[in-house]
Amino acid sequence: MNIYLPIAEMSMNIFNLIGLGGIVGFLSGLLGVSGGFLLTPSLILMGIPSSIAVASQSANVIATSATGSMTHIKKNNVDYKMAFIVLFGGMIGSSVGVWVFTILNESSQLDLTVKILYMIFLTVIGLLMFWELGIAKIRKFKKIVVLKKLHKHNFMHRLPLRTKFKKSRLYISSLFPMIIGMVVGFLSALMGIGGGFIMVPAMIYLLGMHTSVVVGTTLFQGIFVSINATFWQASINHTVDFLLAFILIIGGVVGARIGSSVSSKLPADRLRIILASIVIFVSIALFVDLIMPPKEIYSIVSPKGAW
Amino acid sequence: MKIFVKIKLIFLLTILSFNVQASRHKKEFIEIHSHKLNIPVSIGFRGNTINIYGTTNIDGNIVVIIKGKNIKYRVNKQIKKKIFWVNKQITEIKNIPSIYMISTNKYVSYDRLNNFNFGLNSISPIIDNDKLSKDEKKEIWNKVKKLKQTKGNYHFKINHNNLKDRNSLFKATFNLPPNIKIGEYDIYAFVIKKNGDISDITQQKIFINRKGIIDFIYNKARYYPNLYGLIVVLLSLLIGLVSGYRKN
Repeated sequence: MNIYLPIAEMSMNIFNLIGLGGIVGFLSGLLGVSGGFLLTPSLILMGIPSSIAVASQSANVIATSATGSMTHIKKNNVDYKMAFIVLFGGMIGSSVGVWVFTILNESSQLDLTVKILYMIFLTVIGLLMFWELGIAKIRKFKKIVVLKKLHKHNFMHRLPLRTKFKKSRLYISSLFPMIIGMVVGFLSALMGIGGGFIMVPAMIYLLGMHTSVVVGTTLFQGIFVSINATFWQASINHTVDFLLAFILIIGGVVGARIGSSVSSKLPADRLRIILASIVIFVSIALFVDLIMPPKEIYSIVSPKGAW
Repeated sequence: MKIFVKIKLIFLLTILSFNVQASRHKKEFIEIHSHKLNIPVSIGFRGNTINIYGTTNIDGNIVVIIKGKNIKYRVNKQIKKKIFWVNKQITEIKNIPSIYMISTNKYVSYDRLNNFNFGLNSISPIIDNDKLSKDEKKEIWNKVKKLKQTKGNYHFKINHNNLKDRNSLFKATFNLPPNIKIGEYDIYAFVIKKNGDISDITQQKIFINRKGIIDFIYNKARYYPNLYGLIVVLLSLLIGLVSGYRKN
């Protein structure tokens, strides 16, 4: 059964789209990872133009971030002060990201940029996942217990605009979280991701935030950053296909529910290996797509979008 | 539904037959009727088939053409930089039809059709780029034609089914691709007579329009982008919050 996507101006199999959203949602519910970094490249590999895939995925990120942050708000796991400072940077970053997106789209370089960015990030994520799994196995085997300091003092503590973050038990410069927000916001607009896979390690290892508030804070600010990116994408580039986003959201919601309900019954370690393998596989697929000689070296694009 | 279509077809053929009878007194004629005048692009759209029924009393090669509005495209060429294939925008090409489909009884060359100002050779694309030579512009147009043919936007078929002896009743079938542009399309029909001349050209218009939710989303996104952006954001947020609430 096919569905016509009004903004992409193309017909796609609805079950493929629901299935893709469902698989990513399932992994998200099962392993607690945001699947955005898998969804956009998969859509591109399915033939959806990068501009539409990225912008529509931003709308999907709003829904997933809102769903996820509800739990954390209820559990009081959000550092609102930190979230608003990161958000301030995120708003600037995502607005600049949409502007760069427009320039790249007009010069026909968006596709290449998005693919290269995804290839790099997916390779890094995949390798880090394998690394983390390997280290955990070794520690378990050798029965090593690692005692961590709350956080290390580094250059951030010497920057101006130092602020107290009671919830995170930090006294650091506001500039650094703002810069992190800006970078993640920029990538979020350009790649259609929530940015959790960059923000979470940055908050833990660079800012030294307590892990209990990191995910909630990231998700909470992610709602507003993706709202900003989606609104500007719709307003300036006209590339948000709500029908596509809606199908992915529905698939994702159902998949996440199933994933979270079976998470305790399935071997998480093996699933993490599978996820890391999928991430590396998608990255390789993108790499092959970029280096293989194209079937046809010429292409035509209607300025309005599709053919 | 199928019965309704059959009744409609019989009705159409009856009218055409009457036309043949009535036109026997006329010198020469060719008439066409499309079985669909409005083709809706709705949520399940994946291309469409359109049948053009016609009648004529002229012996020869019947030519039926569907032509879309002239539009402009951006032409990109992939070049290898280091190890990656990179898009390079070469030029813009204007004044080329979005769709050009030809259906005939017998083979006829593009050069021959060009004599009557039809066929792909009759199209004069505009390439405003002084850096390109005449040969390069010609090459680009040839590449664009090839790409449009691959996508099913330009094609040539010898597929008329004569419904009666001689050419008195005929049918030409066209498959409109899923990527078809919205808008007005012209259908032309004429006969290339045995002596090489062509008959009068008969013309009809068909319209391809968005319908229902497709039309709503497209129009809002195109003409009210701020409102559309706001609606998308609010709906996404609402779905997310409802889903999160239920989860909790």
